[in-house]
Amino acid sequence: MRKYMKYEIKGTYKFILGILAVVLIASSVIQFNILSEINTIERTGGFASDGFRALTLITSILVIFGAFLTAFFFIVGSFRKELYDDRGYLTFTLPLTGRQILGSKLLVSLLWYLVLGAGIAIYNMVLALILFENDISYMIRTILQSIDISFISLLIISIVSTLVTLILIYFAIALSRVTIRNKKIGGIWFLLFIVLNMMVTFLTYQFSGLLPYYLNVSDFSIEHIYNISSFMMGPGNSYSGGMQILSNGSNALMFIGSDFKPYLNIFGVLFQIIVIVAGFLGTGYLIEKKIDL
Amino acid sequence: MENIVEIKGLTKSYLNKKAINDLNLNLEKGKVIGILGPNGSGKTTLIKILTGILRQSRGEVLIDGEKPGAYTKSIVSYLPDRNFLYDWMSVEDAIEFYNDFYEDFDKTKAYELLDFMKLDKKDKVKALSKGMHEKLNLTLVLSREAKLYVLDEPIAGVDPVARDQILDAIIKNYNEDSTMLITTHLVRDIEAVFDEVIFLKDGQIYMQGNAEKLREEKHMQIDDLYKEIFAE
Repeated sequence: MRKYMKYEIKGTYKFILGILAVVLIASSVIQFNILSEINTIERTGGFASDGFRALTLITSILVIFGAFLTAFFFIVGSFRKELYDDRGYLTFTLPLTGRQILGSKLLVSLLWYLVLGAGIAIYNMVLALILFENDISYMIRTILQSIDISFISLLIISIVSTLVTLILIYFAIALSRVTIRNKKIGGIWFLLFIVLNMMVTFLTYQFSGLLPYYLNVSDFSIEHIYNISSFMMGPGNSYSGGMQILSNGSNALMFIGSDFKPYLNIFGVLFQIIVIVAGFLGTGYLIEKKIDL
Repeated sequence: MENIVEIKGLTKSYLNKKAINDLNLNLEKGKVIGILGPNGSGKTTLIKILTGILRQSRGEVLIDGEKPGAYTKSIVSYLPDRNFLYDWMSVEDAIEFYNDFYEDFDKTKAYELLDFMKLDKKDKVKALSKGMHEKLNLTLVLSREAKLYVLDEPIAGVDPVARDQILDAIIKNYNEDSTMLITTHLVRDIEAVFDEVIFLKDGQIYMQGNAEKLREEKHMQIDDLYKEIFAE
């Protein structure tokens, strides 16, 4: 499996680094725009943004959005190609099981998401601090301080959500490949993915709402939503003062309470993990036992 | 003699069409076997099932006693009838790839074959002509010490010079302990290498036998026999 991952990385790294370079250039343009805007405001005491700067700002935002979309479809496409293009004749005749191939693809995709996410976040943070702060030690301190228990919880939730999305896409592609042989209507996987994704979101929401028990990640205590809201806000008050992540209302998968502690919805996260495992086994089965190239 | 392949009641259906229809076949170890038939006779379907990239509708397939899966893929060296290498690869990458995945791959032999085929290891796979592609694919497949070689149309669509080179490579590099299965409809060029031939028609075995004996019995070359069978 490690060998297959090595070749997956080898075959895709140039494209991903290209995307990363495009996004970094575009985000630099945005930051320089903001800096010159601030300088103009300081100099003139009012807004003086000219047409060209506004245009480069909008273009850069669009470029970043486009680059992310391209990266997403590239990563999805790398799995789709195995099932629809001639390269599948090499991949599926390797002495590997369907699960090993799938697991490698999944881990490499996740790796690229993390590389892109971390690369862009760190670059922008460093650039912002260089542009707007002169104190290097303060800069390093700020970066290190931002890595706390809330950050790690958010990272875990982001990884779980990315894996859910990826595995649902892979499952949808594999299912549409084994049920519909016609390549021209291969795009049906996208509809299938939308339906599956809606179902998973709905069920996650239901589980989170029906069993609103939260894990306090800072001390691993388990709290009912009512207790969190009561000690945070006082009995009967809404807890909506906390920052909710990845959902709305009391069904959030994670939220940062008003006490600044991160809370994870136990059953919501558990359900997402079950979806990942079931999706992985299901897709592995389809490509091992049902695939017809 | 021991069988490397055992097939019982194999059927592969697509909607209302049967590509393979209740086929029974045993292949002995240590032979070069030609599977002959026109397009649509079921040759490629049979091969795809043996190599584990197509599932049968009914019946049983055993290779070295195992159902097609990760183990059988480690002992079967397959040459598909298409360019299956990844686009980003160079010739050298492709050799490293095979070396990494197949324990039976002989890298020294691969580089010798590259020289014989006059291929440059620095060439990009994407930039190769059809004939060069076929030569590279064959280099990779023949550089394995596999128990079963499966070559699907190894000389289709290549020029006569490349064809001779490919046939030479097959003859020189065939290992007598293994079995080689070759499908073709270009019988004349390749019939000299066959120990046995199987004629496939409409997904069933129409005729099967020792190539030499068939020539004696029918008083004709296998190529002429092929034309007689499939002329109707």
